[in-house]
This record gives sequence, C-alpha cells and structure tokens, in this order.
Amino acid sequence: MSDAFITETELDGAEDGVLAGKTIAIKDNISTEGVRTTCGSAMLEDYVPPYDATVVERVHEAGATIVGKANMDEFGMGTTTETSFVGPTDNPAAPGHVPGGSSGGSAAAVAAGDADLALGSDTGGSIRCPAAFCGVVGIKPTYGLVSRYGLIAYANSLEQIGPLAPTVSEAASLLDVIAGPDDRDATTRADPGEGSYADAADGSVDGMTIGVPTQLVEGADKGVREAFESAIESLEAQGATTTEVDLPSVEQAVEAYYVIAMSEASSNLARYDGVRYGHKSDADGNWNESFAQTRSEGFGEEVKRRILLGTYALSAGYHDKYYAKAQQARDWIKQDFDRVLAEVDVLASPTMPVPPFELGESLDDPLALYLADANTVPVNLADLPAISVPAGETDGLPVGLQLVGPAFGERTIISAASALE
Amino acid sequence: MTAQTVQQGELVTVIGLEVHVQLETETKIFCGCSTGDADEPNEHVCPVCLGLPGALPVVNEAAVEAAVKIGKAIDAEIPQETRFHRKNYYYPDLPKNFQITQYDEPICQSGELEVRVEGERRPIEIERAHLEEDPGSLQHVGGGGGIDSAEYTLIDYNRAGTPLMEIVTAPDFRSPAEVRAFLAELEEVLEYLGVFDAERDGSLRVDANLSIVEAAEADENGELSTEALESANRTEVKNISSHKGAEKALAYEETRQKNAIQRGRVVEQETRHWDESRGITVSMRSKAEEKDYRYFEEADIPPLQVAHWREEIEIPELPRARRERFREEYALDEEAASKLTSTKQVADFYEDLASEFDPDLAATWVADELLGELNYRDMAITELEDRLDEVARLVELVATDEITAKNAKEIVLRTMLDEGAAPDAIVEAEGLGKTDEGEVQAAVEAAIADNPDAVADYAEGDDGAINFLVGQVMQATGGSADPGTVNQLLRAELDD
Amino acid sequence: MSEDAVTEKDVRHVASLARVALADDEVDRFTTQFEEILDAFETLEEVPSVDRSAELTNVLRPDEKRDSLSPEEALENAPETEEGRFKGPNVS
Repeated sequence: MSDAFITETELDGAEDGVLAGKTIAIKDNISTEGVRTTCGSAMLEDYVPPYDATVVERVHEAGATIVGKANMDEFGMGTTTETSFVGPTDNPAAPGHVPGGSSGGSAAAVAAGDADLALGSDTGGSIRCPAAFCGVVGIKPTYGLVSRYGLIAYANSLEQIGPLAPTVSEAASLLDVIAGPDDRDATTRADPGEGSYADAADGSVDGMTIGVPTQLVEGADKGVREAFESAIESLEAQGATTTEVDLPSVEQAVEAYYVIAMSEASSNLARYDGVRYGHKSDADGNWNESFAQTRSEGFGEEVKRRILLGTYALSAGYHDKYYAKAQQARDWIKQDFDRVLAEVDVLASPTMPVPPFELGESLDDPLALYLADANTVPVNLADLPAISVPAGETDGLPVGLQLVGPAFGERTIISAASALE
Repeated sequence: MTAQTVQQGELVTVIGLEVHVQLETETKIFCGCSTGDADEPNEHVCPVCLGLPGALPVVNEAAVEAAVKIGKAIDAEIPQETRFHRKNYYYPDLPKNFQITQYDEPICQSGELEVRVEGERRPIEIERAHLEEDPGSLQHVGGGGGIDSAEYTLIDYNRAGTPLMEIVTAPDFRSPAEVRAFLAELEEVLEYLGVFDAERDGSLRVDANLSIVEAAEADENGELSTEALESANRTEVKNISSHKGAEKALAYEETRQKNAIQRGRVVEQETRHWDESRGITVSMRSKAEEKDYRYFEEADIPPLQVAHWREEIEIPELPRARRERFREEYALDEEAASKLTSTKQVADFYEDLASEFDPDLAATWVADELLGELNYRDMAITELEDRLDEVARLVELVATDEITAKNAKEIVLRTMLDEGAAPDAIVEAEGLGKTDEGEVQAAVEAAIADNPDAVADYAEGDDGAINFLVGQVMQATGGSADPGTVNQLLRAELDD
Repeated sequence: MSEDAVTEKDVRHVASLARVALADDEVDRFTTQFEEILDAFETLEEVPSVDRSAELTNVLRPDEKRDSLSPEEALENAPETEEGRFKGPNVS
C-alpha cells in the first residue's frame, strides 16, 4: 500500500505570503519544475517537467512548502485511486476503503495530516469524490477561474484545478491564491464578483434558498441519504429554505460526460509516444509499430479502455452518433442548470451516491463505477462551481454533501458550506 | 474501386492546389518562441510548441491579422465566427500527435485570384484559406538516406508551431503553366501584404491534385461537371516548393498520366512525391488507406469573431492594380511597369523618385540601370532604402546634364554600389564634372586647329569626319563633355 | 442490444487508429465491455437540441517573444537523442 505521495519533496515557498508556514501536497498531474510528475502512470515514471504550472508558481509565491506529489488514478481516470501505477492509497478516515479518486492522494494527505492543504484536479468529480470519502473539504471551481497551464490534460473542456483542506475557510484561502486569469491559458476569465473567498466562509446561510434535485438523491444509498437529509435539516435550522427541483437532463449526464471525456482523452494522450519524453519500448519497428508498443506498455487498462472508446466515439461513422450527440446533451444540461439556478441560490445533493468502496471491490465492472459519478459529472458539463463538505457518516464511513452554485458563485457555496462546520 | 481506364479521346488536365505558406510573424502561432533562424536544433522551443504535458496554446494576434489581410486581398469572406479544430494523426514531426488547424469554419471562404497566361486572364477560385501550425523538421538517417529506406528519424522542433496559411483552390487549373502563373501571382500578393518571404527556405509548400478527364464530359461552355471531376482518379503530388518546381512536377505528372491512358493502362489513385533532382514523381502510398482524422473542436482556444477586422485592417495597393496605375499615371509600357512593380519595395522606391524627376527618366534609371546593377551584385533594392537621396542625386546629375548618362551608369552608379560612396564625392574624385562651356569651346577650337585634314574632309562633304573631331574633343576634356553638345559646337564652328 | 454490435474487428481497427497494441485476450475483454458501455451511450439519442450559449471569444496574445527552453532542457526527458535532435523510429 502506498502512502499519499508518489514523490516526497521539500520545496520551500517564498518567505512571506498568506500561506507562509503551511505545507501543501500537489496532485501528481500538476507540473512541478525539476520534480518528477508521473500522473500516476508508468508512461511518465521518469518524467521531470522543465517548467512549473501556474498554480505551483502562485502557491510558491504565497509561501507554502510543497511536501509531495500526491497519488492519483492514472491520468485522472478513475474514482478510487486504484488505477495508479504505484497502487492505491488507503483512506485515513476509513482504513481498508478507497480514498476516492482521482485526487485520492491529495485528500488522504490532508485527512492524515501529512499536509495542511492540497491541490487536486476535477474532471468529473475527482476533487469532490475523494473529499467526501476522506471527510475533508474540496472545491471544484467554475471552469475558467483557475489556470490549467501545467495541468497534464485528461479532458480539457471539463477539468479544473482546485483546493482540498480540513475546513471550508482554509480551502477558500487556497482558492484565493490560485484563482485568477493567466495569459498562458486562453480559457481563463476573471471572476466578476467582489471580496475574497476566505471572507465568504462566514457561516451564514440565513435567507438562502437551496434546491435539491430529485434525480441526484433518489438513487443514493439509504445511509448516505439519511446523512444528507440530516445535514440539510441543519442548514434549514440556520435559516435556509429548501425546495425540490427537477433536473431531467442529468439522466444523460454520465453518458455525455464519458463520451466527451474519453474523446478528449484519446486526443490529449496521443502525445505519449516515447520520442520526446516518457516511456519508450525496446521493441523494434517503424513508427506505427514502435508507438503502439510503447503505448501498450506505458498505459494501464483503464486508460487504454478510455482511449479506445474515445477514438471510437470520434471516428468516421460514429462521430455524429456519439460525440456530436454528447455535445448536444451538454448544451441541454447547461441550460437545465441555468434554469433551476435562476430560481434558487444553490443546489444540494449527496456528493457520492454511495459510501467509500472497499479496496478492490469496484474493479471488475467499469460501467458500474462510471455510474457512481452520477452526482458529480453534471457539474463539470455545466462548467459550474461546486464544493463537497463533510456531512456526517454512515456505518462509520464518511459522507459528503455537495453544493453547486451558478457560474462564479464560489462565494455563495462557500458561505453555505461553512454553515455546516 | 481505385482505378479506371479511359477511352481514346481528347484529354483535359484538371489541377487543384493546396498551398501552404509560412506567415511572417515574430513568434509562433500558439506560443512566444521566435520564428527567426536558429543556430542550433531545438533552440526555439518551449513547453507549448514541444507539446509537453500540461502546455496550452494561445493564439498570436499577428497571425490572425495576416490571415484577414490575405482574405481581403483575395476578396474572400471572413465569417462571423471562426474556430480551431484538432486533426488527429501520428507522425514524429507532430509534437502532440494532433495538429491544431481549422476544419469546417475556416477564417477565409470563397475568394479568387486572377491569373494571366499568354495574354488570357482567368479567375481561379480559392475555396478556402485557413490558419494552422507547422510541424517540426525530420531527417531520415541510415539506409539510403531516403524516406523509404531510413533506419531512424532525427527531429528538430524549431519549425514546429510556425504559423501557416493553407490556401485551397478549386480544381480550376487546366495546365501546369497556369499553376506556375498563379503561384507567382500569389507570392507577389503575399509579399506586397508583408506577410510572406519567398526567399525563406520552406516558406512555400504545394500539394497538387491532378487528374486527366475526357473532354467529352464537358458541357457547351467547356465546363466539366462536378461528377466528372470527382469520379476521375487523381494523384496527389507532394514536395513541391516553388512555382517553377510546380510547373515541372505537374508537366511530368500530366505526361505520365496521359501516356498511361493512351496505352490503355490504369491510372492509380495515389500520393506521389516530387523528386526535384531526378525530375520525376515517385509513388508513395496508395491513397486507398483512408485517413480518419477524427476532427473535433479545440477547446483550449475560444472562437474568433473577427469579421469586422476586414473593414478596419488596411492593405496596400496590390501588384496588379499598381501596375495598371503605373501604366496610366507614368505612361510606362507593360514591361517597364512590370519591372517597377516586381516588389513593393521597388515600386515604392520608383514612385518616390518619380515624384521629383521625369518619370520616364526615373523609370529608365530604376528599371534598367539600377535593377540591372543590383541583380548582377545579388543585392536587393531594400539595401538602398537609406540611400534613396543618393540615387535621387545621381538622377538629378544626369537630368541637369552635369554628367553624362554613360559616366553616371558606368562609373558613378557602380562605385556607389561597390564602395558605398556618395555621387558628388565620386564625380569630384573621378573628375567627371561637366566641363565648363569655355573649356569645351577652347577644346573644339583646338581640335579644329590641330586637325586640318579632318576639317578639310568635312568641308568636302565627309560628314563622318566630324566623329573623329568629336573624339579628339572628348579626349581633351577627359570624356566629360557631352558628345552631342561637342558635335553641335564643331558644326557651328565649321559651318561658318 | 444496439443495432451495430461492436466486433473484434472494430476494436482492432480502433486500437490501430489509437496506436495501442493489444494482446488477444485484451481484444476479447474490450469487445465485451465496449458492447455494454456503448449500449449505455444509446440514451444520448433522446437528447433534444438546444441553442448554443455565448462563449468567451477573441483571446489573443501580442506577437512578442517569450523565453524559450534551452536545447538541453528541451532534450532532457528524451529517451534517445543524437546531435541535438530527438531520435525516433523510421517512418516508412
């Protein structure tokens, strides 16, 4: 069993700054200059980036010390951190169970106290799921709030880097440090709102309206539902009002997500051919043969599966049926969320429909595992912000509550989440 | 079905082009690496153009401006929204194993460029033009060194990410000569726009599609139907890098295909490689291998809405229009107008000169003398950009009879170019100044006095004797008197 | 069960496009799994079409030089290099 880190380091930050004296774990798909960055894959086992991701520069300037590169599902593809080439990380809050994925190492490091803070990435729930499973706080920002320059891409139209921390206010402070436009990432935009995220963690939820989408609660495990409902009651007791809302489009969300994510992955991972960096096969052959061998050796099964399915979804004859349709579904989902968020301030649901799996339990049925992402993936498709905050336990296993806000509505969800602490 | 035989009958050549031009910007299309010449391989690379994990593309404003200028110059539409797509395929020169290009929403659509061949003018339709990134450069090593037999490949990514404009024509060409004329015209227009440098290695690359179609398929206007064009087997000819090369390659290919058809043989639909040194095209792979590029939108680059740039962006007067204006405004013939508009720099230079002096005289000096001397020395007119006033002074000296045209060309101009000296300094040093009237008169009288035989011959009607006397006067004045004037003065004296 | 069942041939074709060499048992396993997963994707047929919402546009950078990597940095992670160039397999 690996611990939370693939590589341990001690990279001191600048002397002053809001994070001075804090330690931070960086998910191993975020480039750190001079420090091995593997994405949890044998393909990049020895890859040392010659540059820092923008978020790493910002964290460094804010004074934090980087103590390690955190374990993760290979290339971000997974929900349990079990597809990492170094093996899984145990869940410190639920030993013998998975820490969630794909930012499992980041969440575990924070939960175990190996780091004060962590950065993860979230493509379809990869920050929120491990945050929920490990009993910590995790934020997936609005698409475009945080620079992706240096984030090793899995699905570039869906993913964002975000903070994990023991409390809402610490996660919010870290978000203040990493957020903001970057001229090296053309998809970043300035948050039009005012005031820091840290200040928004004021515990006040009085007068807030919370929508609970039926579709995101009805399929959840009984114990998870009970913990969720109890947390909702706590918010109501502090002055929030809840109402049931209808989001029919989420029925297609998992499928749309996987088609888009796999298609983008098949292209984003094409560059791994052993010529410029990464694993290279010893086998002979021309470039077609050599590339095919290298990639077969370097990638694990889940990655191969997604690359192949993504290639299929984009290929001639299938593009319209799968990829184009998935994009259409995405437009519909965006519209659906905009509609309900015009009526309420935030949406609430259990982060994951199930409690943490036992290690090894989920590996035989890929499709079943994909369906476990049902509550988190719609948010990535809609480009919206979401936070997972601890909301009790079921059978001694952590349960998380997810709050979703409108675009650049981080302050609202931070505020509501802090009321649960 | 990959091939077809064609019956005997009149055969028409049909050619379409995909022209790739490198745009002249300081930096690459998606990153801030220099596009200038490099001393070492892999010197102008960064995480973005090397395709390192985590790097992201950001579009160069100047590349988009260049594209809009080109669109304007070829009368193309710039659509309301244009976006980038990924073209997915594997090749060692492609750092990401996909190329960022444009697919169904290119920045320029439906333009045209007129070509003239043997006095006939015809518009060639340009279906589209779009922006994309250049791949790296490959070196095939070992074996015979050729691409087919090499043992391995060495790659330099300095070129990767250079902005390219791909210009696609309709299959409108009917001869290799037309293709050459089109490419020459296109290069000229692009240079005028300041977006292209023909001198730069690899700045122009052409892929041509050629098919031979039966003339019987044409309608009464001589137009070939779309079906006929699409059903004919076409070969793609790659590795053409100049307009002259294009004509040679296509002439070869045209002959090869016609020969095959006339012998009842099959023309394969395939890709062929132009080998300039051997003067032949060589089969590469059969085009039967369908390429599935799995195009999809590049989500890292937000779309561009630049239709309004078309009005706002200025482009200079284009070569054809300038040529026509020169002919009218300066009363120049076709040949002179052509030479004087051969590059924008020459045309600008000429117009500056013509604004001060007789345009005809200026034309002679620039088109004939100056360009001739520059070409001989392999110099470009831009090297004289800062010496415009010196050239103007030279022309002035001739225009005002201060020095003879002969001396101006043979001594002053050449010395100006070879030694960088100024005209007045040269005139003084070489003693070429116009001899004053008194001196000439004295030399004329002396020549008459010293050569009584020639005088006598002239008196008896031998007009040619005058030339001998002119020669004597020229010698006496060190060649700087004007022969015409000397001739007149002698006659004036002798006819008295 | 979807109309066009995924076959071994499809899986091999896609593996070739994606340059991933597969062992026979992997082909078998993937064929079965893909069948199931693509079947699930059929639900996308039911999606209504909606208008695309406005997006970010015209993000451009000035044509100014930025620091490049040194050739050493560029070649640092390459498994094989020769004379300052990356070494790859032959292309034929």
